[in-house]
Amino acid sequence: MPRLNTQLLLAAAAVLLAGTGCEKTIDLKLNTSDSQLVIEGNLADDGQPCQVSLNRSLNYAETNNFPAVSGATVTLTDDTGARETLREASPGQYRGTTIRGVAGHAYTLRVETGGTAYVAVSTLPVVVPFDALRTAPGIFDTKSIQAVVEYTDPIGEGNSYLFRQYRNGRLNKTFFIQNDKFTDGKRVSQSLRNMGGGGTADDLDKLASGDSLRVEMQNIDPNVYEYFRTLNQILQNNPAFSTTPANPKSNFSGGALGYFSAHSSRVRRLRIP
Amino acid sequence: MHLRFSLLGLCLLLLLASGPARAQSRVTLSGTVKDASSGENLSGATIRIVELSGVGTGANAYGFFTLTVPAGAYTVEVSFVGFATQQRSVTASASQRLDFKLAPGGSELTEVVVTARSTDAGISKAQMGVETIDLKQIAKVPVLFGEKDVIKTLTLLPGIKSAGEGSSGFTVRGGAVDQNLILLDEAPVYNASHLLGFFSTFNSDAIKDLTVYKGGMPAQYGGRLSSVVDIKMKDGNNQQLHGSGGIGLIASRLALEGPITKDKGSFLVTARRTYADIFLKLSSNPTTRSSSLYFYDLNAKANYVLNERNRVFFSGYLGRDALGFSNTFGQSYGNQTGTLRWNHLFSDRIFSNTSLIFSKYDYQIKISSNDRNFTIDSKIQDWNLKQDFEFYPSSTQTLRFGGQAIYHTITPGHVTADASSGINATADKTNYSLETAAYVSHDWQAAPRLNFTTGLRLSAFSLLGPGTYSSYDAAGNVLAATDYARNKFLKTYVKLEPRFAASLQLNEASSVKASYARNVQNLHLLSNANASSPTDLYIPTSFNVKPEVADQVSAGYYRTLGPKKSYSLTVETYYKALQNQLDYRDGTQLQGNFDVEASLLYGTGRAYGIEFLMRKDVGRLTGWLGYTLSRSERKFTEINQGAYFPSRQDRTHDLSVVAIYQLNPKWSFSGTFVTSTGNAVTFPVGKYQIGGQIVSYFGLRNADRMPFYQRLDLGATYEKPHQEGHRFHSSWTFSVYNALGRENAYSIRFEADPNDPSRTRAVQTALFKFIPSATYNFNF
Repeated sequence: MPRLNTQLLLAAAAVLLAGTGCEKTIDLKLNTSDSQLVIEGNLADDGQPCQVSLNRSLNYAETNNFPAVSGATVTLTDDTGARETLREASPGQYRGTTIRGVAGHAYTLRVETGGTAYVAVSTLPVVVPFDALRTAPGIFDTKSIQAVVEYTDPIGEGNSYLFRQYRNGRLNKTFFIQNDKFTDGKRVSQSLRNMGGGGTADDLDKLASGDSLRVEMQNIDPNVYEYFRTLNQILQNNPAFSTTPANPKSNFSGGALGYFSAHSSRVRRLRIP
Repeated sequence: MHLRFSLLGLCLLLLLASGPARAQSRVTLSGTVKDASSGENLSGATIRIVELSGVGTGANAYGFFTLTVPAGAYTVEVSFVGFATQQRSVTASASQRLDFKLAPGGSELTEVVVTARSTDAGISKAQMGVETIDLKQIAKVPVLFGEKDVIKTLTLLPGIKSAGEGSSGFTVRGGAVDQNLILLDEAPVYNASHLLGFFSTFNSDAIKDLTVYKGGMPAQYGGRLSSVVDIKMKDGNNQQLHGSGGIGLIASRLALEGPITKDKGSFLVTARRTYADIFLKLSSNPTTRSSSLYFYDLNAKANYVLNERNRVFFSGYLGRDALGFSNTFGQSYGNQTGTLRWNHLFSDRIFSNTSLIFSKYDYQIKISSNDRNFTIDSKIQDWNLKQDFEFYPSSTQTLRFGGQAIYHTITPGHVTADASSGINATADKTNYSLETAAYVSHDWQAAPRLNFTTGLRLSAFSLLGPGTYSSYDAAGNVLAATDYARNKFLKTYVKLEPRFAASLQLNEASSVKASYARNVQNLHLLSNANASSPTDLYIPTSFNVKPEVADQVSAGYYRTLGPKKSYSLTVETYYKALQNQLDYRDGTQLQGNFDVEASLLYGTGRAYGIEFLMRKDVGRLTGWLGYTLSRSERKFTEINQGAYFPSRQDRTHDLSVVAIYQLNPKWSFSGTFVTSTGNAVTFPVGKYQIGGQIVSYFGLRNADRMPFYQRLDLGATYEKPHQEGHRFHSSWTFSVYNALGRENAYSIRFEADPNDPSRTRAVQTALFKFIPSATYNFNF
């Protein structure tokens, strides 16, 4: 987080110096790979059942029609001994029925397809109240509007957060993540702008007066935070700071891409003045 | 202890090898060689006895020489490229002092001499893998924004590669950026870059010359695996007061030098500052107005000859970069170095230099936004005591020996914040270490055409208390953390570094050489970004991090060509094996990482290649052509299933051409052309979707290549004709960087195509294309 501020300014300086810098789309012959299984599993404490989506990766040059994986056996268990098999609601989309997310409980998701099993465990963390949502002008571009979230981090390191931002009902795809490495036990007032990774510079980022703003605050477990942190590393892709790229740290065993997150969900809304 | 005795034994052996004094009485001629106009030492000047074929020597780094010959009447000849050769008749019945002052230019006034190194010297000496850049040589080489830069020019030599467009980082023979020891008047410079690396920290006004050792390092150097870049500051003119300066696109420079006491002492002060921030003040945007973006540096040097046997020097450097954004963000970083030196002659055959060296690099980041006010501080600081002796037992031998002790204090970035801040302060994890070394090196002309340099360096590195150090399992989880008390030696590594070089002169114009050198490195830079970042982290060798070791063997062929020996050809080939190399686990974040050792991976590496260099140092057209064919690979159990993979700096082909043409006394033109294979990188091998975002899927590390790099720079220099009786001279330098306008890929990113969401695309960013600049230089 202090790092991001630094990088922003260094990047600004780089751009200033490189006044003549230019971008263009190029043709690259890229290597191909075997199709990989991608799992996205979520279980929130909002009374909804577990949702899992299964699809497969493509070669880079292909059109973005990611093939759904049907006919997989997807089971969810919790640490009380409850167990259910998710049904396939639509191709590649699996839904639970009975198990609900409860803070403090560990959940195990098992996906079996093509003769291989992939297992992930996620603990739904203690819920930290979402104290307030407000807006503030941006630091670098003072005409812009940014969402600011406020909460009080409980004492003891390891609290991790994921924020999702909706403008006029549409989701901003950026994963705004935060943990308490530098803010343990503090009252936190954080602008979402500085926490992001990925996303696009489309209008979903550009909040305007009169918009309805909705922000969901999730308490996520530290392994899921690690997943999104390493995912953001490759989504950010700042040219001056590109590190050697690597696949995000998945919490699935067996070599699947993606994650399984048992998390809280607290929502606040406001109309931007 | 056993090792120390062996070393002592070796010293004695070498002394005995110098042979008993012969019956005929021998005398020693010693003295200094200086530039008559400025009093600068002419290190590397050749001193020979005309009557005795093959008897000669070179002036050392301080311009001192000594020659022991049978008593008799001789003609002593002193020569140095760019200076009039001087002869003096000497009746040597007893040892005597001979000081020479050479006049610049000499009989070759019409020819432009761009190098200060005799082309012959490279043929006869055993030392290989060495290149020297004279500042006069680079003055006309076109550079980015017209800012003369020794480090940028260095990367035009074979085997030395720029770490990236606009970067001051460089790699030597497949090594990493941190494996270069950059010395400014003996003081290590830890971060040699300004403004993200677009400029190096070395103000060319203050620099006399630069010598780089790519292999076969002499035993007096140690501490880094790949290279030693030895930069010497000018001593300052001890004849009369002179000033010089320049006004460029980015920065202005001013230098003043002159005698403290004529012929005895002189000083030099140079300053440089950028002024981009002055334009920021003109902005209509208040945030931009209150922002800052600048760097400056100051160099100072003074020396004084106390008497014929004693001379003292002081050199200092202070440089700082500052970046600030409104009142919310401020970052500053820079180097400070200071060197106190004392030259002492114990006898006319034993030269001694004692140096006390201070070196520091630090950065500070201040954030004040909302309720989160905090500061991040980091520094690396050295106190360094060094003693070197040069002993000349006979005209065919030189014995160098000495020792060094460096006390390192390293403070990784830590946060300070008061209780009202939304950010917690973090623990100060300062660590302390002691690096010591002793060496002996023996140059021996065994036969008129056969030279040997044999050396041994004993280096030790001790991690000192206080501090907390952890042990880790294979996955990087902490097993145990232990607190250690102050002044305790926690862990000591002792290494022997043998060095050996031999040369055989085949005839007047050619020679072959071979060398072996082992180097050890105990400070490791952790950086995972493309651009050199001021917040890159230095860590010492510790319980977990072992000393890096490199063994390099090389062989070469050297030849002068042409009727006036105006061309020289060097072909060198090398193989280097690397141990205890560092890399990181996937996804490691280095900044704000308090347990960085947990993220490290340890492996090995190898690098090999062949380098060709054709130079022309005299005549109207001067310059060089360098080509390198090379490979650099690393091997880590955790990466690419333990197979060798190309390191980031692996570039198969690398070609550079530098040409300077003196049209007439007023105009000269120059051009630089470079082209090379792109760096090894990791591109996606697939893609998938997470939360509606397209994510790249990566396969093997560094399995892809950036597009090849190509750049042509052009320059022209106009020197205003001298006016009789006027001391003021001025010149204009014009240059165009990347004159072909080729868009060289600085980075390539992969993203969803905004015009067609069903597709993805690769977008290349290029930095500098067709950058013209003009610089006005003057001196008086």
